[in-house]
Amino acid sequence: MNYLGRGHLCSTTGLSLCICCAFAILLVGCRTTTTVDEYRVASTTIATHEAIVVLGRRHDMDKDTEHDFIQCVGRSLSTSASHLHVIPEADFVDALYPWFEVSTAPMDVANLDRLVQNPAIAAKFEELKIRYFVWIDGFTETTDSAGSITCVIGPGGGGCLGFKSWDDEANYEASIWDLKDASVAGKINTETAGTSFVPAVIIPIPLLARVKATACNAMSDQLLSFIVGGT
Amino acid sequence: MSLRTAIVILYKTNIVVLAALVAGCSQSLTLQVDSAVPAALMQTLPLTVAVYYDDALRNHSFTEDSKERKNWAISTGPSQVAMFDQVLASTFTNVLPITQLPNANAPTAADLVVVPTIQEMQFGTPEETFFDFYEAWIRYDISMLDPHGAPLDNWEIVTYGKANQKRFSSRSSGLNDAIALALRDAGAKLSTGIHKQPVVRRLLNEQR
Repeated sequence: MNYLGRGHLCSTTGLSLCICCAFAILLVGCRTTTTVDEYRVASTTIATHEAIVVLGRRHDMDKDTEHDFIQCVGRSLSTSASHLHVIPEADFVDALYPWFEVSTAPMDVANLDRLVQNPAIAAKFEELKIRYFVWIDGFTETTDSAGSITCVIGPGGGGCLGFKSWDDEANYEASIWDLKDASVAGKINTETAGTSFVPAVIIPIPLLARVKATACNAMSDQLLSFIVGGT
Repeated sequence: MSLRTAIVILYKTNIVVLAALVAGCSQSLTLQVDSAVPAALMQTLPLTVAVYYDDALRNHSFTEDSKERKNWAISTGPSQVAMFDQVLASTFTNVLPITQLPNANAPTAADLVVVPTIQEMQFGTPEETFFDFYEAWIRYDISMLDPHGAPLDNWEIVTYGKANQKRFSSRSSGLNDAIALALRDAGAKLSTGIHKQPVVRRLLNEQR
């Protein structure tokens, strides 16, 4: 009886250990990896009354920079310890309509400088106290997927069985323009990759790699360090 | 409740659910475009412009009944008029809406008459293009007439709007977003390009 009991305990512990190990492996697999590159051209500084605007590039025929990514970066910068004043993209684009639409937005600093020659635009920039433009170009995409999950439902109940995984990659490049000097202050590039898993034994359990959120955090942290850090 | 009644209720409920699912998957589309174009940040041009919208523009509706686009009806008229009103009002010093085209006997007290018309409208959906976005193209013809209604020039504007496909959102919502962006593009091209038109340049030179 004791033997049987011990054996049962051992097998239960073994199974639990196996499940724990499997989850640990999956969780490790869910981790995202991020590479951040920074290229600084000029030193930066920002006064408390000055503002930043974070904008997404959407001129390619391919995928656009996601609005939620731009909002995430803007929110992270404004809620950081430095409390940067970030003008929301939609508010800025509406206030400056029609100069920052897909077909009219300046593609380089020289064109921005030309825009500032327009007194109406210059007055609006002055009113909004804009110091830096951050243009973000890129997107998150699923690059590979494997496996499948089958679910069945019947009078006695239902369940799923299978395993699915996919790889996400997020590549974003931010170009920081200094409006005061009409120059490019620098560029930041982030590359984030991660694999998500959904094992399903009766119930599917999604173990998701938060690739876009990680890319947003990496980009925001680096932008903050770039703009506030200074040199 | 008897077993028979319960079975009948269950049967009817299933039919309703099935009908709702079929309706959700149906190809038909009825859309009243909802968009807002902001005022243009411009140095207003010192001209008085009369604007005339014909019934085709005021009541513009894109309709198609094909195998792929069964009973499509997309109404854009009110959004078109609102966009032109907003953009022209912020581009020129004075804008006079007119309900009849001027003629030699009944000229208008404006420097220029602007008559926008829609020549063509096209759409692309993810189901058709296999891209992750909805697309809309609109081709306008902007006729410019003198105060007596004589044609002076025509200007063609082609505008484009692209809206990412959102998870759990409908086709109507995606197309509405794409059309709204095409209307914004129309307003942007109109307000930033009209002063470059030879007729407008000539009138501005005469003002100086």
